[in-house]
Amino acid sequence: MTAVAALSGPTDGRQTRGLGWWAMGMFVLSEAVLFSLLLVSYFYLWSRQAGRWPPDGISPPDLSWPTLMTGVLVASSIPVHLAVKAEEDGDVARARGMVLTGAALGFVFVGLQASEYVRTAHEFTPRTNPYGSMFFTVTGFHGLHVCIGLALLLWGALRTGRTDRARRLPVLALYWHFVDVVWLAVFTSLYLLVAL
Amino acid sequence: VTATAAEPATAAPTEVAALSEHWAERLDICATLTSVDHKRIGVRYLVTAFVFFLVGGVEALVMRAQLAQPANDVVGPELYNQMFSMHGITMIFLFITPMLSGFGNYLVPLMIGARDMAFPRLNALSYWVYLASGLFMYSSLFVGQSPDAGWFNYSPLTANDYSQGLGIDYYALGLTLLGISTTIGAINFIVTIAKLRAPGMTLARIPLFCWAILSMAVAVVFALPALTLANVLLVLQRSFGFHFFDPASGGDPVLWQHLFWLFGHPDVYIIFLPAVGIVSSVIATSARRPVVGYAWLAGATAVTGFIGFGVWVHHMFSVGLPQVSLGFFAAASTVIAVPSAVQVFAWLATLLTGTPVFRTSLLYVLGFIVLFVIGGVSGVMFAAVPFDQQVTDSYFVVAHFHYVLFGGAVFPIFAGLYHWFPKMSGRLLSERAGRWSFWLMFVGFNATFFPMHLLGLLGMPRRIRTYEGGLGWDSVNLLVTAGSVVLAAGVLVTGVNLLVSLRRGEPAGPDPFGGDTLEWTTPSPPPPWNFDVMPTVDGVSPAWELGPAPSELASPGVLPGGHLTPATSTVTAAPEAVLAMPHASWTPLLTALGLSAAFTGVLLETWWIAISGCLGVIASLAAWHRPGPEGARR
Repeated sequence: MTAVAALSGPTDGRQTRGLGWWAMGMFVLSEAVLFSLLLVSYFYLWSRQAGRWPPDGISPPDLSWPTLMTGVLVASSIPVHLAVKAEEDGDVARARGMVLTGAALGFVFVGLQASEYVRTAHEFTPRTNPYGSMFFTVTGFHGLHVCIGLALLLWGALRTGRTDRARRLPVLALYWHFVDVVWLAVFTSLYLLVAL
Repeated sequence: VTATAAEPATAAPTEVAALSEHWAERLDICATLTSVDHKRIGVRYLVTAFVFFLVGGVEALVMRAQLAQPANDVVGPELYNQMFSMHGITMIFLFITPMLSGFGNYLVPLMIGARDMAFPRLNALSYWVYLASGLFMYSSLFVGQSPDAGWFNYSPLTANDYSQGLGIDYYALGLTLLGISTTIGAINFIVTIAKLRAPGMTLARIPLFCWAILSMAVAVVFALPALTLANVLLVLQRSFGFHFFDPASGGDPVLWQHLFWLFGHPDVYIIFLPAVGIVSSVIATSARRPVVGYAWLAGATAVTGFIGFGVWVHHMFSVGLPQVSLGFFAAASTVIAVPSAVQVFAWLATLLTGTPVFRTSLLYVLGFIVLFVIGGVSGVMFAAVPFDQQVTDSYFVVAHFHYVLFGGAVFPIFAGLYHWFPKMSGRLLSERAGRWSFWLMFVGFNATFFPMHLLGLLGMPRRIRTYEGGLGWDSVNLLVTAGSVVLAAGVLVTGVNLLVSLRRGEPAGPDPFGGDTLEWTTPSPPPPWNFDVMPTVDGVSPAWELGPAPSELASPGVLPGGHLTPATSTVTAAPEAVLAMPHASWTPLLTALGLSAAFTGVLLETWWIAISGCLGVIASLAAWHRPGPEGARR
């Protein structure tokens, strides 16, 4: 006889890996495929280019700002992870604070990317050539994901501590870590491999 | 198979009344638009997809009328191009895949002993977005600018310079929208099968139909992003001036081909795998014994899904790729015949060692096996690169993929209709009409598509609107057109059979065919809560093994206290939790409307519509996640 049979009400909230976590896992998997193919397409167009990359006399990207962006985004994963731990320990205030810290770093990243765009747009735009198209598509697509992640984190911070339903923070954290990992691949493909 | 005298547990009348109070839905229009019941959504999928099947069929008949004679002029070249493009798009994306999703939606929760899908509202959203994308793409017909570059929409024909109207935009945006629906649906299937199985339904006891749906869903998660990406890049190129596929500015049209077929070939298996699941179900029930080689079949399903990702280049053998890659993909394309052969032999062994009852559903399955073997053999022929290069873009290809898709998926779909219609409606279909329909379709199909092999070998290219007389194609084309009329008549007989039986069919009872899976232990049609007492499972054929559950497998019971269903662990199906399922809601429909507005805005390049649509989606999602009754999931 298990405990479940005796229950008449929902016990969803007790699951660490509930349905939401599974669904997010599958969604992230699908998104990972999407980003991989986007980067494969980028390398494909690069390989079809006869001359040097970037083409048309565009100078290779400067690494200083993107490295800073990488540091900020990777750092943001730490408080988000700690928030999940804090929520597990029942420390709602700390969990909320940690989520907001992670989100703040996320906003810094978006700000840095915006200024990076402004500087880049002087030299080339998405309409210039396939390099420009790919550069803005990859980074723009990733930036869009960061913005969605930020909205999710803010919403999660708002709702942390409500014990009425399944736990949300592990689900949101999974998405945020994913967006982080994708950036590492983007940084390597669009900046490191081109500049070095 | 064990039979026991023990009475199965039943629910007290007061408990059934409580279930009814929590689960029953009204039938009025509001309840219809807000329903999250997987059975209503499943039926909706089936009906909508069948309508698209008829529409796609009419398009095919128009083409056949045009090709019946040389130098014919039934439709003009522009319309003809739109007809063959929409025919392919409709049959692949709007009929077969959603039709099989419809079976999955209806049957998976019943087969695994759950009360609903894991995410009932997402399920509703998935349907509405599918309907919206279908209507979106078909609205192109009314402005006379349907997609006209074929179902695989090759670049550079799709660049602005060569395709100026809205047709290609309809294609790219419509399929992206549909991709949202398919992805959500696939994730829902995976989580449902992973987490909501009845206690005791371990991995090795999952019904083969559910294995097939699971393999399909995993293939969708990995394959569909390629199509979505290709279409998003195409939208960016056409509407925003980006460069991806245009060689003049350094892009490459072959990139489109790679992305498309990286999706397109796995999609063949996304279509074929659920059909295989239907076949296994019908064969086990008809042969009155469990399927031979359960593990081999489940394994073959998964292996097919996996190898399916390594064969896409066989669609591109004539593009001019390096010899090495041709060799690799030729080998993979040959290997993939192995798991398919394993399946065919397992089915035949089941029929030979069982005592089969030859109902209409089994006739369709036997038809499927014959046609699929023919299509499979011509498929292996394509794996030989020189042969492939000889017949590329000829009617031989058209013949082959209709054997695989019509024979391999549509025949199983019809088997599924005859098999499960009684469960869904409570009434039996006419067997007599069913046999007529089958033979008309089988003869009509072969008369339509077998001669196309010959036309291809005689050099007739696909996608041509007309041809000169005296090339040796005239009489064969007339035969093909005549065959298509017989085929259409066969489809029509089943259509009428469905409509008439809905009203006048014999009452089916809960289990008219002696089925082996849990859906046959419920009334026909099942109540909104599916099971009075939540079942436990101790074998691969639970409906044949109903007995007292072992003591360690206590049933979760009736769960009359709310909108509840049990959750179990992924591998061993040990009870883990009881989940409160969401109630009916307007938010899925509103979200789908918002998405449609956003995509329409992009299509028309009218940005206020697109932005309003996005805001609508955000507002709907906020309402979706508003705190509800205590404990209820969203």
